Amino acid sequence: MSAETASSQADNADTRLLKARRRSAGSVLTRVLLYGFLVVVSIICLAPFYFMISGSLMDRGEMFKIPPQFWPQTLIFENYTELFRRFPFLTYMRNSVIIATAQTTGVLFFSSLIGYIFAKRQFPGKRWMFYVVLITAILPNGQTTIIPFYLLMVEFNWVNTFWPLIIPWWAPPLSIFLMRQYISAGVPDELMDAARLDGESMMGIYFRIVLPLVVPGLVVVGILQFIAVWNDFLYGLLILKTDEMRTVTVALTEMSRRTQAATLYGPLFAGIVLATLPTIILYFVFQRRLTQGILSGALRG
Amino acid sequence: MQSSTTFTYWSDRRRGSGIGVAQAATTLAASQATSPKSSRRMKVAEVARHWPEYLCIAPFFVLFAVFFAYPIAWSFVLSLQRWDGVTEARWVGLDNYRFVLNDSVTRQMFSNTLLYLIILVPLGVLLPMMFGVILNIPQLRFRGAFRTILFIPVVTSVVVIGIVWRLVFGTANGWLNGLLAHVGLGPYNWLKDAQLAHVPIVSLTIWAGLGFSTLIVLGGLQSIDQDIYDAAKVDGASGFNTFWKITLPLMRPIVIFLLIASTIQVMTMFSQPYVVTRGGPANQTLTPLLHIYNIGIGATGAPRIGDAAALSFILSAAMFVVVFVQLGLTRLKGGE
Repeated sequence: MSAETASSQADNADTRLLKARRRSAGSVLTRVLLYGFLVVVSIICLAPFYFMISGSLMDRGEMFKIPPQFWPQTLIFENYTELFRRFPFLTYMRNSVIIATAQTTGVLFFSSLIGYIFAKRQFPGKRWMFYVVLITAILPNGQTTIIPFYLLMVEFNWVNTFWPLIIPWWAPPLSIFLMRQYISAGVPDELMDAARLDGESMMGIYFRIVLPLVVPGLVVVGILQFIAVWNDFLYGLLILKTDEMRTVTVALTEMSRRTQAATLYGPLFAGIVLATLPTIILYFVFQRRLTQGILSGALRG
Repeated sequence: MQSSTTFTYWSDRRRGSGIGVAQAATTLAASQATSPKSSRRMKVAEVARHWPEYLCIAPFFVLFAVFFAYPIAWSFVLSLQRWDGVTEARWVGLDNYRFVLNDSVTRQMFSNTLLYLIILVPLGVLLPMMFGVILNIPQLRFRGAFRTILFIPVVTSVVVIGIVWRLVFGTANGWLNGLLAHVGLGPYNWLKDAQLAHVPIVSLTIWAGLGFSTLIVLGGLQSIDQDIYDAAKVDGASGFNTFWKITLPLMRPIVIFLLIASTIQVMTMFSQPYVVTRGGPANQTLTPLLHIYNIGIGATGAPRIGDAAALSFILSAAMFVVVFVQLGLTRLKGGE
């Protein structure tokens, strides 16, 4: 809401700026250069998608032609059937869905609950505890400790299970911070007081008042989390050892390492297209909410 | 008595949170007036009364302690040992540090990291600022479409796109060399040449990260109070001056954020070299995390857990230092 008014104000200021600029002599050239530049950048942003789709529809001979082909002369769809015939690709997809869903659900529950406590409850030590959350949000995440993390998972007997990819990530400080912001802004104190007078407990208020009111915030945090987990690679590579446990990203990377002989590039590209689709679809469906969520998050951060 | 107050607090039938705070404050004030012994008891009672809140926020602290703080501490212990994960571990003091700091592969890795920091950190600030300012011009046609397109790479997996990158930058039948051939250039040996191999790594990193940073910049630009711009206009400031004297200083928090984010991103780079160049040729694109992974998991020979832990510890320490220096820089300049 406030971001929108801010942007319309920005519009006014920039309008004047642009009008002033339009009067100057070089403005047509500037605009041509600007649009030309943006079009080139857009092409670069989209080119890999073009290549992956075109590669997934080529047969092997065409893919390794010299000079390279940019679009198949005859479209073939065998790469997709070949992918499912040669690899348990549905299993990879299922693994990714399970991990991403389980992690996202946990993140939504814990970050909204912890965000609610920090936003609306008073208790000794609240200030410094919230500082700890903020500091861990700034600190680099666990990636530097992959080796001790892996050894810890060996101790837990969690290697080659989904748990290390789900449970450790359930309370990310950034999501807690975001949910706290959503809750302090979106849940009026009067409503909570009224519920309290009606005899609602702390958890009752959380489930019946707070959660329904912050659904938009939950959607943003949830989609971002789901996309991040879906695309995660390092921890999957570290933990998932057998083929039937692999996520899509790990499986495709292993496939690309095994297909040095260039025999399986068609199915590999078909897999890349299918692995990329879910997050792109999510992005387009929730695009406005997501960008608005990140934009307003940037104002607060 | 104590348990009954706890119970009423949990069910919280009687008081609003505001009243609760006031009560807590008076309780604390009263406790300070009395003897230190009873004041401590009052504080303990106050903390005990709030056990539901502590229970609810505990998962954050437990997960952080078990999965992030403990491994950092453990990596220090491991760094003082020589261990392959199978046979008995042996205490070797600081030998591992001495070894990794003199090891030629690790030195190559450090110089690669430095090179990527020099290239990618300035670009990680300048490019998003440039695109943010351009995409904030309201008269720009198709502004929404450009924003959408720029953001699409962010939702893709770097490692999966990296597989495509391998083919784009391939030598004989690579798409890029195919394009360059049309203008009479190449072919270049992008993946095997020591200097050129940085091109696919750097370009993939920028391609994947630009959209998100640009969106952060856009958020910052839209938060600037427009009265300031109006005042500047009344004073007759030029567009360039307005940007330099008003926009940039107000964007300092965003700039610092981009600095920290791109520094951490470079220092934890893994997927790009893992899938595109595998750290080669001759370790020219080896990054810290890939090196740690290789020697710690044993992708190159028997696992050297001590060396990997020493590197982990050096890397963690380096990141702490960099982040706090950059944060201190904001605090310092912001205080003026």
